[in-house]
Amino acid sequence: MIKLSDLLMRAGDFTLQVDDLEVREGEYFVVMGPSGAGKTLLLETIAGFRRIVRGRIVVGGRDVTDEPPEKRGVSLVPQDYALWPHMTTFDNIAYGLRVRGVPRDEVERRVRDIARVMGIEGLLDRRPPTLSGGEQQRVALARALVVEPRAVLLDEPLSNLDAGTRERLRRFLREVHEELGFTAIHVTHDPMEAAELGDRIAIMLDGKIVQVGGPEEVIQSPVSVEAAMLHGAPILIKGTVAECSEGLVKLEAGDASIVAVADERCSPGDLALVLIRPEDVALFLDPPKTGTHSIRNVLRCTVSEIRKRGPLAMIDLQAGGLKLTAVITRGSLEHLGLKPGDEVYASFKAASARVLSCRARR
Amino acid sequence: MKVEERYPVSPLWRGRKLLLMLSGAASLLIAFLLIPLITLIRAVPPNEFVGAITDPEAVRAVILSLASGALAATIATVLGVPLGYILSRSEFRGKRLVEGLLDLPLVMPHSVAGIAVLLAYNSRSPVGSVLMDLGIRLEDSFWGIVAAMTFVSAPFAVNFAREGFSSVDIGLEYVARSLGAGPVKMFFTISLPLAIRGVITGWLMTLARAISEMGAVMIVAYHPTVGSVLVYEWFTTRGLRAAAALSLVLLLASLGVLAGLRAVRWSGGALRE
Repeated sequence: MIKLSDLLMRAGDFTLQVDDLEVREGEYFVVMGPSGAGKTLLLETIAGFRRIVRGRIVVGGRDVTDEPPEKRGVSLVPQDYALWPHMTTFDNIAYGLRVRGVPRDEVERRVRDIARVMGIEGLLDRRPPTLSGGEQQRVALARALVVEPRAVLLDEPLSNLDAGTRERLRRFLREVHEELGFTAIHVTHDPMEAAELGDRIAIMLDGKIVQVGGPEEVIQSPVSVEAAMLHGAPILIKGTVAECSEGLVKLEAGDASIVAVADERCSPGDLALVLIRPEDVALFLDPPKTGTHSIRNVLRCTVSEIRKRGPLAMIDLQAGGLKLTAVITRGSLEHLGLKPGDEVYASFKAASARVLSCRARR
Repeated sequence: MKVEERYPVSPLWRGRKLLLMLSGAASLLIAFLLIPLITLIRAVPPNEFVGAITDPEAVRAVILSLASGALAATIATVLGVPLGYILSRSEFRGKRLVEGLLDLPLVMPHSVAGIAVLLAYNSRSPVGSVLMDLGIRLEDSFWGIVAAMTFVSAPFAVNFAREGFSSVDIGLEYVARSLGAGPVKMFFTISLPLAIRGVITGWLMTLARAISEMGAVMIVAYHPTVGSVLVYEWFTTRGLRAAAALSLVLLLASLGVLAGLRAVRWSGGALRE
């Protein structure tokens, strides 16, 4: 368990401020944020490499705020893995045990055990510069875990890998975590990584944790536009509230009318900002027949641009004064035969449209 | 990644006019450096070279140069490595002053360095009298030679060690600390082994600088005579030819150090690949 309370750390002009954060025992906790949000600083602060202005850091029930890094019991896995090039893989993994004075035969046994779990038994005599990125990542993880730390801090551990290896290692991390059950804080800017690995996700922006929750909650209900942007550019629609009842809001935006879900109180006449994820927008060539579906929002649109991204296509749409984007597969694109200038019906459920903010018009 | 891998074609390719201008100037400098060395080698007939390397006075002087130089380089390295690490890893008030101080022996006239060392550490000075109590007298002694050599060459040891430590990614040290190593253990198991090429290069450069030193050594300890001082002595008493033969011996010793430097760099490159 890691608990941070009232933490304040300054590095030059940058301020890291965490009022209250608790990572549970055995939890795989992901901190997601854009570059420069302070994710690495957060890890370095927990590990004891940054001097804090105030606050407490508790690791495994023990207050380590004033402890040096070597006494905190947290292992660091930096972004570039930081394997020591002058040692073999075996010596890299054995290092933490040897500095703790673990007897030689036990070092041998534990290194071989963790190497087996990590699938790197064949690499123990090799030196790090001769290993691939994926192999280095496993060695770094083995080195961090072999000392049985109270927590492992992983700083963007998959960012230096090619897409295929990243995918494989993401699954591997999940499996190793399930097998060994260590407490982990993993920082990343990749929403896919966060969603797949995190038991819970914290969103970090400008040195502050702005949201903590399960993957679905954080991805589907971002607390701000900035938080939503982390999951890819969302559709943002500004409009005037026409009606509201039982958490549903009817919004007039341009020539269109949209029904959205609102967590906060809205009143008719308010200005509201609605967020929709492009992957929640479905396209139809003909208007869906009324009474045969649960979709509350159907808009007649014109295709303005088609952008192909790997297996997906982003379809930019104009509906009256509104701009929408839909993400569909390349197969669907071919099936619909869409091209710029075509007319199409964009639809999304009210549950997919969320009111982010609502304020009285001045 | 090596520069030639990133840019397979040199920016000078087809830049004939610039290439001509640059290589003209470069050739002049190379010729200026090379001609005296070749002339020196050609000026010494084999029998005179053999005479010089078998002359007991010359042999004593060269051995003394190497021994005192090696000791000066070792002292400078043992004391310079900690300073190099501090300068590479920390910011403190007065850091620029310390760095400036380290450059001073490299830019001051070496006779001035000799005078300063003699004034500060002669047997009647406060520090010198303490050394005398330990049985170490600087004037005209082996220890005087070592002190003068250390003074003028120590910046090499510090600067190369600092560069060596600066090339070690701080993340490598962070990980060691997070895995349970205290600062001392981390220094001796991670930082120092990874910076060792810089440290060895510093030691060799300090040695090279020390054995080439004459001005400061001559003032602090003319006797026993080191190689560089003996060259000067033979030049004034026996003439240019005798001095040239001994110079060639010292030149070969310097080439030996250079070969050592190349070997350290080569081993570094081979390890990286």
